[in-house]
Amino acid sequence: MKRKASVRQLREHDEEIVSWKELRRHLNKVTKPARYTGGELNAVRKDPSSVSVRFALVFPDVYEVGMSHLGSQIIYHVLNSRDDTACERAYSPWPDMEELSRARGWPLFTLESRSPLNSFDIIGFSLAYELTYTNVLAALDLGGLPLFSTERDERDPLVIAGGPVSMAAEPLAEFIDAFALGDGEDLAGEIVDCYKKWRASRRPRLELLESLAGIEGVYVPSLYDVKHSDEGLLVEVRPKAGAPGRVRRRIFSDLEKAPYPERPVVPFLEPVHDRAMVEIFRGCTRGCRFCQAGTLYRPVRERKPETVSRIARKILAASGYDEVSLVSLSSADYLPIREVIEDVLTRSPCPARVSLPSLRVDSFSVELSKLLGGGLTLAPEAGSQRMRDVINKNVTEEDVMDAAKAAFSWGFTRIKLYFMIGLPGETDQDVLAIADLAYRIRQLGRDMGTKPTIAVSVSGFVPKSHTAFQWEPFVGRDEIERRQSLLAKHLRGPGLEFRYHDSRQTYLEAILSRGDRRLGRVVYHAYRRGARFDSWPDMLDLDLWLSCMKEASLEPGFYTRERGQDEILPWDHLDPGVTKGFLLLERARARRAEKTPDCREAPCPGCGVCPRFGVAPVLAGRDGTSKGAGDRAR
Amino acid sequence: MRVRIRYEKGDEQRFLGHLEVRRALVMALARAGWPVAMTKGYTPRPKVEMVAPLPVGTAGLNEVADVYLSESRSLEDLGRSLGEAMPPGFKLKEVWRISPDESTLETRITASTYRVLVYGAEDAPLKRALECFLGKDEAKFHREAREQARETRESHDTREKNRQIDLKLFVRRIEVVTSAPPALRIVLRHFEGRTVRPAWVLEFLVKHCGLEGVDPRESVVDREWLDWGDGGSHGS
Ligand code: SF4
Repeated sequence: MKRKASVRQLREHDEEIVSWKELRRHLNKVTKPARYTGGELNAVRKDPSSVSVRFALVFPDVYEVGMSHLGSQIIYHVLNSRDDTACERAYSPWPDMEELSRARGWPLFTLESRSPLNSFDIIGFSLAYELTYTNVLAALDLGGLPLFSTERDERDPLVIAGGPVSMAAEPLAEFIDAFALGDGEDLAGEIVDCYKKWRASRRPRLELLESLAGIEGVYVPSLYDVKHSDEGLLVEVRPKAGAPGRVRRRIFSDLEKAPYPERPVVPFLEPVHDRAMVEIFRGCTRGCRFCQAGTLYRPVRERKPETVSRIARKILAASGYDEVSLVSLSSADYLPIREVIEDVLTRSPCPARVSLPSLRVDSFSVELSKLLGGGLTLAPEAGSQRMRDVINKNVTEEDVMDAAKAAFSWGFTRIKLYFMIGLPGETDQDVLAIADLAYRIRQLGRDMGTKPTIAVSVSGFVPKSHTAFQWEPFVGRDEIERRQSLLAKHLRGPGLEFRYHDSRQTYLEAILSRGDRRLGRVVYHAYRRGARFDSWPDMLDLDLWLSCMKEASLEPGFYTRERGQDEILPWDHLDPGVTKGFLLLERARARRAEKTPDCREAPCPGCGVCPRFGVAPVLAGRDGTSKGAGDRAR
Repeated sequence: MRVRIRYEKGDEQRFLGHLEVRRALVMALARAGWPVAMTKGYTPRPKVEMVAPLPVGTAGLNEVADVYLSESRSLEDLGRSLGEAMPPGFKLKEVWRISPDESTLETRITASTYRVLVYGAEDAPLKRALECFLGKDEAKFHREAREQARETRESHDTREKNRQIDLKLFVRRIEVVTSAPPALRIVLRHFEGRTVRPAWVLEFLVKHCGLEGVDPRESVVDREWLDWGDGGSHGS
């Protein structure tokens, strides 16, 4: 009861709970204290008494990671553009700060006003990857909120979560009141409006949840009864109280009209991506079968080149960054990319470089890299042509060698190559084809008179929800390690470097990313027993997780196994727009190593998003028109 | 053109390290549109020289940096544009022109004046500890190897040698200036760019001069001004 009283009192007086004097005295005891002091350029500080809704946007990882996340900057901007709303930010405290906070009795507070999370109306988590789940619980707990949704009442904040992981976050279903699915540009405001209406009505909390469920794109997990068979299989997901049978992801159809953070918050601490970001398009239609983003952001929606250039200039002027990243899932696919780059390079308010986060494997992309300076990274994803066809990575051996040739002739001597191992149907031969490809590229470089270094980086494949591979088994941690060492044995020698991802993380991700509601108990106990920052290799304690699974009588193998095609999957009631029929078709094609064309160029292969959700690809980068393949889809 | 700026790293930005302060200044210069010259070499960097960098946790009321420009501009324009572009928590106080071939200021700094808020101590015991300190012939202080290794690029050997410092050589003046909580004013000498930190002096007082109840990490340190050789003392 005491906690409740303090929340109410806080709402009335809008006090800062953690005073600057207190913070200033003690922060020297933690690493990088500036993670917790805010005051950045372009941060928005509103007087709490001047707004009716206070929203705390929480990124459940450390500050420098969270500040690099474009999606959160967009939501921050969208919410703060409303006069009635103040959106503030909070990030996960590093364990030393968590310890200090607990010792000093500090709640988790926002950077803008240093208010505890439980003094806000709405808490919104940004879920970018599964291994942040325990940090979500830590944030709720430190923020003074009851962990379980059912324990919260009318005086507690509404707890929501968005971001790509929300499309399959059943392990968090008991902790999050509502998930916001898909693009947040409109959805965030609709949730705020709904909250305001409910608060004015002074009705019970359940009615808030029910009316939220009436908004397209809002999934309220507590309104769905979930039943499992004795073997653990999902047998029923039944909506209650008028909640929709399937919740559709929201799509903001025209990015030209989308609000964009042209004055982004500029962190003092160097973020992991220390540059301005302009999203040139959303969505990718290349159709790589392992890629979840390829489904979750369809259809492709481009901004016009002039809009991209204008936003870039504005951000540079408002931030002082010396680099702009033209962000998308495959930036070289943007037809006017070259003119946009030239425009940014020549017409910026201050000298700036341009970078592209995601390039294709072809000579054009290599040429772009040269134009931009910096290193060269190519991602063939698989070593053999057969595997590349299985995953629908439309890259031929010739493309790879052409790209390498272009690279050496442009003067690159170091090429980074990204691959995955553990893909469906992969044999040792396919794995060794990775080494083979690296040799051949090295040889090509030598033949061309350079002294090349080929840096191979390999990650383990994790089957993800809403992809053609969502039914495939995870090959297993031991198997991933065996394939890693197989490669390591072959990737030795001058001019070869080999790096691989921590297989423990791959394993945990494989369990959580196709998890069901029952895993919530495991996340809870892992949190209670100290799991934090599981995406940080040094921080992950896999044994702790495995023993929590054991205690909950859940088998890791149940989650990593192959799923039956007629099984109800834990995310089937969340509708990304792409149909299950299309994913099944893609799975069948993968088994035959058959390719599917990109709907940017070729006729629509019929994934279903456009006709079902009444949207269309927007190829504004093409001849200034905003029409594209979508017409063919209808 | 070489320009010297005097600025404030304010209270609320005290937890920035000097690399972050540098980054903040460089970005402010870009926003202000100063034609900052670039260093030569493979990865050119803006030519901005930070003078006597402050550690994490310390605010600076009158910090100094030199900026090299590739073109001349009027001081008035420079001052106005940068003044408007400084990030929150920073203030531009003065901009003046200096000769491009003047030797670097770093090695000419002679002293820093600090104000140190000391939590956990009463005035009287603090004064007694100061008397004890002032009465000593020398005050050998061992820096923690970990701390130093993080901050310097010196070889291991030098590090070992440098670990023991006589604080008495560096402390020019130390006195209690206010009470509840008491604050010290400490003037620390710089020798060829080398100096010590007020928190180390405090740590010495705790360990060797009987000062009780004080955690030196909890002290709040502001550098009030810097002195340098040619009479250029800034910050009054
Ligand atoms: S429906 Fe057709 S055009 Fe639309 S995203 Fe899917 S494949 Fe592309």
